[in-house]
Amino acid sequence: MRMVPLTVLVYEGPMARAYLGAMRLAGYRPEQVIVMVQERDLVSGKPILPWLPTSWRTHLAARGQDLRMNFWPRALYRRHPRLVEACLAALEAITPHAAAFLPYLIETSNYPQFTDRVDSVLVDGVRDVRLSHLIERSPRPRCVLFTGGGILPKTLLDIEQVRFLHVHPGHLPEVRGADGLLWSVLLRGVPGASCFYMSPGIDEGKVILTRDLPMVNLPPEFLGLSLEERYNLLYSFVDPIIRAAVLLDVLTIHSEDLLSMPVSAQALEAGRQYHFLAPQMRDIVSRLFATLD
Amino acid sequence: MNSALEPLQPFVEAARTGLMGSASPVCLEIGQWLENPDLLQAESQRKRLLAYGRKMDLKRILYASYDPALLRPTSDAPLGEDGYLGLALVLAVNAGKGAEFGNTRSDALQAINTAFHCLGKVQSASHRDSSSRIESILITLLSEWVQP
Repeated sequence: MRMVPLTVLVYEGPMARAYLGAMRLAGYRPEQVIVMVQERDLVSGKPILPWLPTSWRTHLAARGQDLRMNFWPRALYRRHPRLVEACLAALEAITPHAAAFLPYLIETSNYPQFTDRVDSVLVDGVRDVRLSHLIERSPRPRCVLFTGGGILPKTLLDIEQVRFLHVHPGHLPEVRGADGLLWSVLLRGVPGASCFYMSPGIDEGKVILTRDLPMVNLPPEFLGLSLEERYNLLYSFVDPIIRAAVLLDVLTIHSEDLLSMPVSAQALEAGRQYHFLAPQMRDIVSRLFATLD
Repeated sequence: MNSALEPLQPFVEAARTGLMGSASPVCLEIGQWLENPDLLQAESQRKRLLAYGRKMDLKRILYASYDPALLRPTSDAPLGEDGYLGLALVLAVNAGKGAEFGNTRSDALQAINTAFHCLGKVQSASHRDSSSRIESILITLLSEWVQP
């Protein structure tokens, strides 16, 4: 295993799992993993077990977060194992070890398999000072891979000697914003992904690598799923593995120095920020994954 | 109105009639766009339509009135179902006009997406039939734009 000067900031879910699994399969070991454990229930917003000592709360909240955030990969594999395996085989058009990602996407969290240093921190979102303090106390200078969605607050982006890396599922600058995988296929006919240093705007940072990728041709059985299952299959397996493939491309070229990779500023006027697709659009666009060549 | 938009015409006329008597400035503006879609060839009008669309995409709610720059609502009252239905129609007409109104393919696809979000706000029995028929027309319109 080759140590990489990288901290992976884990927002529990398929994206973080795919990045960590991809690095392990490719022989990379990030120096640190920070697991953000949300102290509030993600649906109700209520604090989780606030009367317990912090260490117990962190452990139990992390377990609940694992169950909730990885519900769909597990449910889809339990309900449709052969279809999921066929979808992963189709993803080998993009990355050669796609089928081997499966255990990382569905098994219970086991972060020590990926790194020698795991720090878990109970937080109330990415603005929580406990998170910025932990990053400030961690080794610097450091590149931090953010595995959640959306934007990071100034309190994190302004930490000295730290740069945040993100992989967005769309070709930049053309396709920014939400539902990037689906908008990419709708607008460009193929999926895409881009790796960039994060800045205050959504997907507006300086780009390290941007790629259009081959279309993923999912098996016809995909069309027999409900819209909810189709959408969640795309976001449980296709989207995270596409992002992980581009992350690996970046690591292959730049793993020695992730803080000062060559970049290009985005010509923002060449694209726009897209928003979540309405269910009717999701229905039509998700079908393209089993019908476009 | 081009052929793809013709099936929308009865809904446009019904919605326009309803909106033009509204007390809501947003509904009145939507009604004016339905009455005269050519207004949307003006950059200032297109910007206002885009601003309403962005609010809908991000917050899934519009209010009955806004300040002149459309930055803040000046009413606590949400837009009524007539307003959402009317806005869906304006967005559909604008998308269907395509290059004639200076729309790129991505403009049209984004407008149709926002129109679907607007239809999602129309739930009452009195509007359900219109909403589902407009939705079918939008899906047909969308199919023209889907293949790259």
